[in-house]
Amino acid sequence: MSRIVLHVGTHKTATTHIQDLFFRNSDLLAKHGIVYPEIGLNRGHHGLLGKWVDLPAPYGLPQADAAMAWDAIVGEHAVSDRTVFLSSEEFSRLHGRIVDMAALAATVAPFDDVTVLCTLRNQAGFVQSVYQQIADDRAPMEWDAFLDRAMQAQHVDGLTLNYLRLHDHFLSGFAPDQIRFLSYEVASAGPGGIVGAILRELGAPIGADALEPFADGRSNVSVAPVATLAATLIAAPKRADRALMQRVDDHVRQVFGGERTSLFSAGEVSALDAKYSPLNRRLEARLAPRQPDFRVAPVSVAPATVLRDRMDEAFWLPFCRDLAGFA
Amino acid sequence: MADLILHIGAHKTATSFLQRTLSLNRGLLARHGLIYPKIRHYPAHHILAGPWIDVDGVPPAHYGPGGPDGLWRRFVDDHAGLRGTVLLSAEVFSRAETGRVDMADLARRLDPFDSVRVVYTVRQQPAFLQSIWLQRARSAPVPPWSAFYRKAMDTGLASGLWLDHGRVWDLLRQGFPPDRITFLDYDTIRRESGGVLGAFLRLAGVSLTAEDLKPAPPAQSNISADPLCVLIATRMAEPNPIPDDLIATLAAARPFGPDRPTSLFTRAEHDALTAAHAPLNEALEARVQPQQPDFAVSPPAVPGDILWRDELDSRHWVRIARGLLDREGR
Repeated sequence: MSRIVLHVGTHKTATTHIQDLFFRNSDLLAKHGIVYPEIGLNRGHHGLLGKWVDLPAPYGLPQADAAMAWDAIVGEHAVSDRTVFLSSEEFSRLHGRIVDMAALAATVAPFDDVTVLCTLRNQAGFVQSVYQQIADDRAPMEWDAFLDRAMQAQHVDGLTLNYLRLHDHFLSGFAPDQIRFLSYEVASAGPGGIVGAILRELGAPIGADALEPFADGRSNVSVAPVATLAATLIAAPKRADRALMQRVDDHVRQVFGGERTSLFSAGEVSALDAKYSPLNRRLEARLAPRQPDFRVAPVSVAPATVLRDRMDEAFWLPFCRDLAGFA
Repeated sequence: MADLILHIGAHKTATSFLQRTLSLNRGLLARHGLIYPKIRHYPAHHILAGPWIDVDGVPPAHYGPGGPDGLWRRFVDDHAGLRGTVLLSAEVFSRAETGRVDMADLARRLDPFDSVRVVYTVRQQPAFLQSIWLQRARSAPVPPWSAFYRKAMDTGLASGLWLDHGRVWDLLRQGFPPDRITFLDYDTIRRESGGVLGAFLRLAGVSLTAEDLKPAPPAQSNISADPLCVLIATRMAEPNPIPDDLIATLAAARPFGPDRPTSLFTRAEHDALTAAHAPLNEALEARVQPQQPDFAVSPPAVPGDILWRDELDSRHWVRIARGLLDREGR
C-alpha cells in the first residue's frame, strides 16, 4: 500500500532541522521504505509548490519543472509499498503564496493513503520565533507593531495564528481523516524529540538516534530572544548585524545566566492567551473524534523564563558601560 | 558715602551668570553708579568670606598683606567713601557647613557704608536639591542620588547648604535687621523683565536694563544638562569622572524624546520633599512679608510630561545604547 505524508509545517516548528536531517539520511530512510526525494536545490521540498505558486530563488522551481517532479513522485511511488515524505512549511501559508489544497489533493490522490501532517506551536512561542527569524534575515518592524498585527490580523509575516482557519484551509482539499496535527511542545519533549515524533508518524522502524546528524546538529539557532529584541531595537531602522546580536547575546547570558528569555512582557502573554486559547480549544474539539489526545500547548512562554519586563537598569547599565568603554 | 548690596546666593540661582555678566560690564555699570569691585582676577567676591570660611580655590597669598582681615580693611577703605552703590556677590556667604559666616562680625565690618542690604534668592527645594547634585556630578566622586536625597531629607542639608531658606534668614538676623534683608524668589524673578539680571539692576537702582549689558559667554560647567542624562553618565562612569563627551553623547541620542523634561526624583521623592518644606516656606514668608508683602516661595511647577527617574524603561535605554554605539563607531 502506498502512502504519502505531506509535512506542511508550520514554520518555526523545526521544519528546517527535519528537512536537513532527512536529506542527510535519505539512503537510510529508503532502506526502511521511506522515500525522501531530492527536489531542486534545497534540502526541503519547497520547489514542489512551483506547480501552483512562485517561490523566490533558490526555493522555487519553474512550474513545468515542478509538475514534472510531481509526476515523477506519483509515477514512481503511488503504486508501491513505500511511504513518500514531502516536507515544506510553505504549504501551510495562508497569506500571500497560498497553495490550492484541492489541486494539491488531486495531485497526490493516486496514493493509497494520504496524510497532511502539521505541527502546531503555541502562539506565543510561534510569534516570538517568527520575530527572531525576521530579525536574523532583515530589519523587523517594531515589536509593539508586530504584536499588534498578531492580535488584530491574526497572522505575522504572512503566517497564520488562527489554527482553526488553517484547518479549514486543509479541509478545502482533504478529508478530515487525512489531516493530522502534532503539538510541537509535546513532540519536542517526547522520545527523539520532534524528529522522533515524525518518524513514528511515518511508521518508521527506527528512532531519531539512528539518524546521522546534519552539520553541527542545529540548522537555525537563534540568539537569546531578549538579545534579538535588544539588538534589533538598538540597530533600528537598520538591521542588527551578527556582531551586534552576538555582543548583546553575550551580555544577556552574563546577566541572566542559563535562564531562558522572552521578548514578551507578562501583559502581552496574557493578551495572546485570551485571544487564541479559545480558538485552540475549538480546534481540539473538532479533532477529538480522530485525535482525542491532541492539545495545542498553552499559550505561554516556558516556565521560569525571563520576561522582557526584566530588561531594566540592572540589564542595561552594564551593557552601556561596556559600550562606553568603562567595563 | 556708598550704599552696599551684598548678594549671598543661594547657590544655583544663576549666581555665576550674574557675577560673570557684572564682571564683564564693570565700566558701563560704574558709569551708571553701580560699582562691582574687582578683587584680583575673580569674577565674584568669595574671597571676602575669608575671615570665617576656608574658601575653595583661594590660596592664602591672594589675600595680600594682613590676610583676610587686611583684605577687608583695604576693601572698606577703597569703597565705603565712593559715590554710588557697591554690589558684592558671593553665594559662599549663605553656607551652613563647613564654616559659616559670622553675620554680626560681617555687619560690623560693613558699618562704614552708608547703608547695607543683604540679598538672598530662594529656590523651591526640589529644583534646588537637584541642581546642587547635578553641579557636584561634574566632578567625581558624587554621592549616589538616592543617598544624597535621603541625607537631605534627614538633615535638611545638601552639600553644606540649607534646604530650608528660613535658616539663612535666621543666620542673617544675627547681624542684620529685617528691613535690611531682601529675599527674592528665583522662579519669580526669572519670569520678570530681564530675568535675574534685570531684577538685580532694578534692586540696585541702576538705570540700565539687562539688554544694555554685554552678555557673558556661558561657562561650560554651568550649562544645564538633562538630569537623567547626567545621572546615567555618572552611573556609567563611576567611580571615575564623567568623560567630557559622554553627557553630550547621551543627550544627542535624545533618549527621552525631543525636549521632554526629566527629573532625578521619583514622583514620590519629589512629593515628599515638597511636602516637608511647604510649612517651612510658609513660615519664611510670614517673616519676610512684613518687609516685602509680595514675597512668596514659588511652589514646584512640574511639567505634565516630565519623566521621573523610576519611569526609565527599555525604550530609553535602547536609544542610549544606540547613541553609545554611534560614539564607539566614530
